[in-house]
Amino acid sequence: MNGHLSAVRFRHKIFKGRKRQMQKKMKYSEQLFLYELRDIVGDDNVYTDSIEKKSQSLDVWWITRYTMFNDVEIPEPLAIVFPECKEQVVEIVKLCNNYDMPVIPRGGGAGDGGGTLAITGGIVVDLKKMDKVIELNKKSLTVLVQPGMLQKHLEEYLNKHGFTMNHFPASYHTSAVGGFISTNGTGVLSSKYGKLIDMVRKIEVVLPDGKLFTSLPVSHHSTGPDFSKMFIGAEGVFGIVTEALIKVHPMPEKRSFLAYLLPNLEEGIEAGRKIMVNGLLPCIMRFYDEKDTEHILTKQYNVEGEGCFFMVGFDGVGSVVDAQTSEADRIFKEAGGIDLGDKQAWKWWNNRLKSYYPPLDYVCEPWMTAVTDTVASYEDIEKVYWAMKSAVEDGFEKYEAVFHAHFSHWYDWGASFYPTFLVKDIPKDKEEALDVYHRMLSACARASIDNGGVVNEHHGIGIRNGRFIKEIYGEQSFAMIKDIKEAIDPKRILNPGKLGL
Amino acid sequence: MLFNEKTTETIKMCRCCFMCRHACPTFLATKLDSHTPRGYAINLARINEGMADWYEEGFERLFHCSQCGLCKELCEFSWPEDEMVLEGRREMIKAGKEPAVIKKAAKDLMKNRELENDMFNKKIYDKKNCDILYIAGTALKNGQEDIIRSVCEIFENTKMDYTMQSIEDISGIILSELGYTEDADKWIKGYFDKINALSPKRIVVSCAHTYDFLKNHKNLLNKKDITIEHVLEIIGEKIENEEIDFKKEKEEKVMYHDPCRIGRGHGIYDTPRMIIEACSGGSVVEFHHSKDEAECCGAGGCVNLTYPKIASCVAAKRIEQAIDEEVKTVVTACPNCKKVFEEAAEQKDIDIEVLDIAEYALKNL
Repeated sequence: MNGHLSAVRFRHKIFKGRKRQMQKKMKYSEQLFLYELRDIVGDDNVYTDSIEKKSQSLDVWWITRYTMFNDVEIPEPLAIVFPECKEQVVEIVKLCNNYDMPVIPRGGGAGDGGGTLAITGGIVVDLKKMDKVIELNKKSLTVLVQPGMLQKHLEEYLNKHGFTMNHFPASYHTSAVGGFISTNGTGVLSSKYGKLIDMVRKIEVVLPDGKLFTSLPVSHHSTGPDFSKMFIGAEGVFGIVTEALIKVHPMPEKRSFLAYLLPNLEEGIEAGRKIMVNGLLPCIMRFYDEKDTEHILTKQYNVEGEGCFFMVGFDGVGSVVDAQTSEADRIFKEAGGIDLGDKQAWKWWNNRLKSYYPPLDYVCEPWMTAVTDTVASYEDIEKVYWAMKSAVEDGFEKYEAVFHAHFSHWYDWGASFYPTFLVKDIPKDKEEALDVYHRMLSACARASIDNGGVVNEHHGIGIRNGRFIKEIYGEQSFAMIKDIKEAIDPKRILNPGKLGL
Repeated sequence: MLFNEKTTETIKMCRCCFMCRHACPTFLATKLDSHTPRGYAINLARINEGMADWYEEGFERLFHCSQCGLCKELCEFSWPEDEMVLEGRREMIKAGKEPAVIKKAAKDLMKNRELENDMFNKKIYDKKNCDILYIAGTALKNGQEDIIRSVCEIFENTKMDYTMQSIEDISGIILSELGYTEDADKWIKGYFDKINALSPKRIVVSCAHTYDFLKNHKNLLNKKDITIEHVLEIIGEKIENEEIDFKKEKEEKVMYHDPCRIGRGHGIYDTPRMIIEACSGGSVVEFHHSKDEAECCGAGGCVNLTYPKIASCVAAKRIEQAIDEEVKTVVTACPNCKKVFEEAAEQKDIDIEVLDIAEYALKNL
């Protein structure tokens, strides 16, 4: 089923809520399928109860929150299965091929685009029991790890041995390595250490027909295209990750942070660009627009004054860090930045996850919200920002829509920013509420695409942004992606309806 | 809304938040989202807003939560998810919809309340105005005579004036943890009447659950200057006063598991470590997460009593760390922790010895 159409059908299909969950009558073929599934993984690894299904139905996407707590039916899988090894994953996929049963791979399930929802039915393959470190290689500085390991647990393991992966996203506590690979995730230190595509050296996946693909033992070679990249950011539509070899680093000798208040957005972006293009290699660059500065930082970190908060950090060998810090300081002061001292920056670093706890996080409120992280080149980024801001605040003035953003992942060719749109007073009518959400999302995304931006930078596409994929790539390029999908997965069993496919 | 304002607020805050999932011991054992504070909150929200009822398959998982409080500890804003789950249990029980295994456990508890304590000479029991009333608690309920004997031997060796109750009844503590609040409330006066009748100066317990319960209900004790102490605090006091000494024949690697109810519950971390170091001659080998971040053994919240398979899975996750650290001895300070670790070690064929702190101290005296 076309991902766009399925998303449209899903968002317009509103059922009357039920007070009591009735047992649905299962078809004989489904019963047989479940019997064979239990034969592969054991009874203790197959769940069909509504409590677990409901718990897994809620990711970070506003739509799943809205529909669940407004008693709108959310599509549920037939079953949730927990394989314990790659061999079981292979057998599960082969079984699903026999039954034409969709397979939805799931790690932490904390994405914000419905990427792990079973919108066309099928089963969820929850990889969290595959959570082992297989090998830490201290010579080549790599770790071979299974996809279900939570990032925090992997980092704790590495720290115990004097290493770090340097991957610290907001979902650090809760998401799994396989999920980060599948969405090509990014953490706060990405400006220096990159995205998952930069960190993965080798990958093993179970293909839609049950075959196992293993990429070459090294990631930099000239032995044909690097096919491992095909699965990074693919959100499980081309294969299920069962193992990954990931780069690790020794713990840095020194880490330093600086914080400044820049006069406006333009000066801040330019200061950030200069730092990146001059090869200063910051590990972290975090720049907040006026509204975000006011909203998050004044309330949480007591940052006073008007302007835009900018935080930058360097890590590594002590003397190099000192030189980098000194040059960055010069650039910021040239841009009119007021030095806030490193105390604010360290406070941000030590409390960087605090704003994701309720009541600080929007998710605990019924407000309509979305993050539409976007990445663009330096010549386009400011244009994209103002276009998206106008699309939301001018286009949806009736709903008092608010737009605020911070710039969080910087490259030597451009940057990404993390815009949030917010409507506190949601229309009471459910159809209208969903309609406003989708129109606002479309307006925001298209403002980015029309001005040279790419949606998304690190949250993945899922269902939410699937309908923009064709626009982002263009018809012919998208046709090539569809052809690959049809060649590799002719039965369309792997994560159907996601990534616009 | 079915739940009170505080629980409703906790449900609202926690149902969409993933931030403590990584730490929940039950989740770490089963990997089910419905075994996390968020999972509990989502489904309690559905009940609260009339979108579900208790008949749905899976609601029994409210009784798989070990009530360890680690979620609350790690939450930046200390949302009381453990209390939220307990409220869920209470409402389910009020509605008469609790699982059959819970109903049976409660019925058995109420039918067989009294635990006969007849290990020793009759002279020991029910003495009034003693220095110490020693309550064995779950050590007696679990039949862990070794723990009780070790404690009494330490008392004897240090010439302490102590007594015990010939009949103990901790049924109300267990009923309270299960969620049978009304039944626990009916039991409580009788429990404290019996203690007050003996009028000790100090109450000393082996069991972390009894310790926590007594501390939280101290106002029901007549003597206002009465102290409630865990056995390990007495041992620690004896070491500091140089009233006892240890062999220290050879240095051994020992891990200490912090029971939730005395560790996170009451901040007792240093004394047990001091005791172990005094005995072993070396430093305690810490679990990966210890002290205020220690994962539960799995026995809390009566899970070992009602869903032993779940408790055993949780315990195995914890005890397996001893293999990684190449440690042969794990010491703890709660009979329930000891029991569930021993059972898990046996099932998983893990070669370790699990000792209560009193047993460990006596072994090295």
